[in-house]
Amino acid sequence: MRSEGAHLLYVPDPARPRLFLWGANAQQMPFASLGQPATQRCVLDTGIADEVAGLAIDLQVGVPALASIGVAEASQLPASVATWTAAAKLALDLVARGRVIPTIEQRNSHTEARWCASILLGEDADRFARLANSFPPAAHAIPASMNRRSRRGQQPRIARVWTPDALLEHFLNACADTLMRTDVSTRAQPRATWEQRWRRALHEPNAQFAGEGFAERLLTDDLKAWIKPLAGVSGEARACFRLDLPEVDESASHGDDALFTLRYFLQSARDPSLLMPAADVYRGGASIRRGIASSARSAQEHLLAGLAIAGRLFPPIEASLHEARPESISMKSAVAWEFLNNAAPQLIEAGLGVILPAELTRTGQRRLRMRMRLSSPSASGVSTDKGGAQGGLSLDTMLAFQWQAELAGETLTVDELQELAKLKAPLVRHRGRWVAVDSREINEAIRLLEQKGGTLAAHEGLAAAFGAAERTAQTSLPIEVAVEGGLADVLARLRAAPEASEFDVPDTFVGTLRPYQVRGAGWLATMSDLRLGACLADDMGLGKTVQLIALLLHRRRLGDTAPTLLVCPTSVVGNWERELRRFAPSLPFVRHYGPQRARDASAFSELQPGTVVFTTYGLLRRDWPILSSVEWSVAALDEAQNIKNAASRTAQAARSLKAQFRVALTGTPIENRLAELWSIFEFLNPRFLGPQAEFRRTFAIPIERYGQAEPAEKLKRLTQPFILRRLKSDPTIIQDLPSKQEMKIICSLTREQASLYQAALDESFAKIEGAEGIERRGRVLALLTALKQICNHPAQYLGEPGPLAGRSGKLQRILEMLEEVLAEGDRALVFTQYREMGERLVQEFERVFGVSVPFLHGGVPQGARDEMVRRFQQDDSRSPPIFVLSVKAGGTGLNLTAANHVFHYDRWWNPAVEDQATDRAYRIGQRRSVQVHKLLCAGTVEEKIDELLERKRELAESIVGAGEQWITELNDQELRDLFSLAPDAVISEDIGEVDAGEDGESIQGAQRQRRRKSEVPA
Amino acid sequence: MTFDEFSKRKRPPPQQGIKVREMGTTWWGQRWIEALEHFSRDYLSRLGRGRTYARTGRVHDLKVAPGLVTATVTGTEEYDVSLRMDVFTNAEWNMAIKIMAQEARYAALLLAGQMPPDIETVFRRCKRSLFPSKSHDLETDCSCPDWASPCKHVAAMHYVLGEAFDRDPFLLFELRGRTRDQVLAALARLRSGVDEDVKTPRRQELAPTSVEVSPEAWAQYEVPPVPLPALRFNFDPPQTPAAILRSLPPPRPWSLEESPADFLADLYASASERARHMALGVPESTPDATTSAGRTKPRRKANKS
Repeated sequence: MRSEGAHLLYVPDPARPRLFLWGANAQQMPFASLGQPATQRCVLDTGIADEVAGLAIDLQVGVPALASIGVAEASQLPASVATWTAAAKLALDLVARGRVIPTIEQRNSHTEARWCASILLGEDADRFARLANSFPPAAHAIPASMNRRSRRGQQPRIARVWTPDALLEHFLNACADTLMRTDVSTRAQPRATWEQRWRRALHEPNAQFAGEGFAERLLTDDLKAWIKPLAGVSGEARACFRLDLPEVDESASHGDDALFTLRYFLQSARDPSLLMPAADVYRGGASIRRGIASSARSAQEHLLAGLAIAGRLFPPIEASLHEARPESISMKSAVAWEFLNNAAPQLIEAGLGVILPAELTRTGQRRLRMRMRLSSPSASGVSTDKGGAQGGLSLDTMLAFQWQAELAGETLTVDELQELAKLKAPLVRHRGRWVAVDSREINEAIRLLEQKGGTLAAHEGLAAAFGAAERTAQTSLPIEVAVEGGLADVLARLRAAPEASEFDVPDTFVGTLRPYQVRGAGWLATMSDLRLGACLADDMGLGKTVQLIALLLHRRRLGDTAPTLLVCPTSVVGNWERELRRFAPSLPFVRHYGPQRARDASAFSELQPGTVVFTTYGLLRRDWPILSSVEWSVAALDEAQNIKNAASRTAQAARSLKAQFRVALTGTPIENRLAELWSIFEFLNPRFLGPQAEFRRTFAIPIERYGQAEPAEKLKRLTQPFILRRLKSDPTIIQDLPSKQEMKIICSLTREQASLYQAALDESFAKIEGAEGIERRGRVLALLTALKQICNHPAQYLGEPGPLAGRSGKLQRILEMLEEVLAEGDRALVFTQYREMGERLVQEFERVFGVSVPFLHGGVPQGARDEMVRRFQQDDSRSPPIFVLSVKAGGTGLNLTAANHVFHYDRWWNPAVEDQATDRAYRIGQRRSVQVHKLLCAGTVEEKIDELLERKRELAESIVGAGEQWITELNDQELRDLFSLAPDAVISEDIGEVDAGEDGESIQGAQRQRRRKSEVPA
Repeated sequence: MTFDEFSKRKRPPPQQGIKVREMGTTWWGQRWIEALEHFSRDYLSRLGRGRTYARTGRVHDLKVAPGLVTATVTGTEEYDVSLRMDVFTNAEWNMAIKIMAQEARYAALLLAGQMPPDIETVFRRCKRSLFPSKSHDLETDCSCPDWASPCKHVAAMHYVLGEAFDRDPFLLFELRGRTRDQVLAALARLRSGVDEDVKTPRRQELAPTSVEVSPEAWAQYEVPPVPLPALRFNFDPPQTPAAILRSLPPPRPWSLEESPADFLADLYASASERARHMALGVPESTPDATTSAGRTKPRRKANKS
């Protein structure tokens, strides 16, 4: 949600550290409900401190709530809020990793045991500094002196505030203290030692530790001195230790006598790549010149203090301190292994730098790793499709694999491994190179080799091949997957599929596919041959529908006679039918909706070969027992984001379908919506992404909440082969696209719309038939207006404020499409003829998308118009993404090239006027392809006029150019034909329920709708 | 209680009195106390009373200067106590420092607040002793009427001093005429062999905690000066809980057998688990939550191994 006018602060009040949320939009923040009304003195954007009202949020609840806000969501929130979400995540990071230390604080008359964060040099200090540097003023607008108020009559002054560093450190300390405590109090034990009392004061809500006596005060000093090396944010440089491999001496046999070297350096805190050898540090001077330390002496002392700490953790270092100027130590391989395996992690924990040879780290080349040789068990494992397609891979088949142990690029046998184990030295020279082999690792490798291998289900095997081997392999050793045999061919085809262009468009396809559409259809055909579920996720307007139609014809061509199930939202059923009729007239289709729909599965066995069965998500949910008992050729979900909630009954119903090929179409970038991605994949390729909870833990949360790149890349490797997504902005696509694309968007009526439509028709027609001349013309135009209003929205026709959701197929459809526009970061113009409709659109867009939507109509004064246009055109993420305009006021003159989508919510029936409006975006300065979406309702006067105009293009120019006047000249029969409602205009029993999914709010809307129906004037 | 003692009732220990809990917990503090006990075999009863004085906080206003320690002890009256020791000559110090400069561990330990265990051998090579070795090394004086030396007031101060040395071994150096900083600076100079700038490194200046923001900056209320960084996060607990404390020796007054890290390990472990849970927010109500919880334990063991 985009919102301004909300600010978040941390209040460093020792008695009650808390967050404070304030501003006009404070209530819209996702965590506002956790707050208690409060006032707080803070510095406003004028620089003057003042008392403001807002919400106080305790850290206990505030920190987890802030940390759960994803990076993408945070970037849409005010910067002060985003800043503190990152700080909350950092606090949890420090506590989870144990980077906190107990300390002691004097407060008033008593002493308290407190926890604080330890931010040592290295990554923690770096993250701290980068976060503190990015604080916007609003995030640290806490007056430096909390209680001072300006005296009366005194001129208010620019207030001093806490520095970001100080405030962030205070926050992290307070979080550490909050998170380390439990809320359970126990009774004090008599005669407890100070250590026990201290522990209790660190663990329980009451932090009070000791108060009387000088000894206790000394204890305080002692504890402070004790943790000093770890406390707070510290230092300019640190000691760093680099382990170097021995020079390989070919003459030596196994190198037991070769010596590893651990060299000492001073490392700059600002730039960890800046290393100075210890010898230079002792020599003095150079460290200052190179900017590592502020003085030669401090450089030496940083190094020596680090050596003292390291000496405690790794005795060989301590031994070296008998030298005057220790620079390094030499050690045998067993000791080097000890350092590599045990000491190095401890030194890092203690805030020291460690540099290890990359090839000896756990994932390095010279460590033992397992190679999983994965292949199909036999020729029959790659099955032949019943539908006559070529060999494919069913996700239910089992794949065989064999283990191979590998070290430094060479395969080892069990005997060789046992030889290595006998050496007892974990760091050994193997065929001339240093390798690290721990005996536990060797035993693990031997265990796996003795198992020889095993089988994996195909979905696991594919996941392993695409980089998720550890999920199934049951071993702690690093794994590399090698794919062999038929499976390798399958993978090669899969990888090549998106670029393969040899697809031969079936002759039965009427029309021409653009080159990228041919590639897309070919990709679908390959996936269908391989029997792997596919997600076609092209940008809106690139023609996903025609690509799927081409695939259906392709399968039909191969002799597949089973029916296809196509599930789509109610609002697009009409569009689908129209497209199918147009591009594939040879494919029969039936509708599975309405009261006449099939009541049992047997009806589907009597269909003509290759029939396409249309249904809606609502009916999929209701009729799944019937639909899932049919063996479908293809089960396709259009607008597949409808199953984004995997636990919903719709998603479960979709997963229950049986089909040779499953395909999902969606225009939203699913790679950014991971719950949706998982659900769609679970439909397409069951179990491929693993159990949902594991997916959340390993992918969704790290990626969405913390923006982590590694899991994101891994997930991309896994899913990429199954998703084809082309963007309008792709250079290869742009050349195939016209600079302006016009599309008719056929929407369906809701039941409410249909009954209003019929009632209006019946009422007016009686009067029109008896009328003549002006009166007749007036009545015809009035009826036309009424019907157009009903198509727009019942609320517009009835002149009532709302509710709006779930009552108009057109509104539903434009919301779906705008969601995609917004998801792609595009901007749209929405034209309507009616100011009343425009207002309702604005209201609904703002509610659904949480953005502010400007509306330019005749009543807006010139200055405000200019401002609207200026803001919309601004290249700024805060600019409104949707602009509603009345055709009359905004259809000419303006320059709105920031938009690349133009919606005509209702029709003017005058191409010149519509084009002129479209040209607000499609004009000089527009660098992208402009998509024009003209909405109309199926089976209504809107569709019929449109068809009429399409049929008689020449008429359109001459007659229709005059607007709607020609309609008034039609005779009674012609009028009836034009205005009457086609019997199939309404798609579903109850659109409100059907399209709302399981969203409670819209179900309520549906109930309201039902209630309202009785109020419709007959 | 005799009349004499009753009439001369002691004053209560003053507020600012230094109550000694444990003295000589470090080897160097111990050495200091032993020296006193060694020279005072004749007056053991006075040492016992001195120790009681030290424990009850009768010693106050303790000051350590080169060659001289002064304090006030509240007994029947307030008595001024002093202790004089030889200040080492420059030559002696230079030699001791030269010896210490031969091994980096002296400076390393001193920087970590520890007295090197063999410091005495360093001074012995200079024909001196850091600790008093003969009774005339300690010249004490007290304004009390007791003829014995040391009297209980002197003994009390000596014990308090022992504890002060426990906390800050550099006080011993100071008593002998060199501050910590002088010693460390001299060591640094010898190590680098260059007589360059070795004056006291400026104490890390306390970073200012408040700042004045310009009116123009205030106008950019919600604009970060640089874009919010993309930070990497990690919620994996350390291999052993409370690992952070393991690089530190126990604090001085530590009396338990288990280390502070072990003593607090379960606090660290449970808080880490809580924080991790909040951070990764795996909802408890998910269907396979039970199985994943069942899996956690063996996995953690596997990590350790």
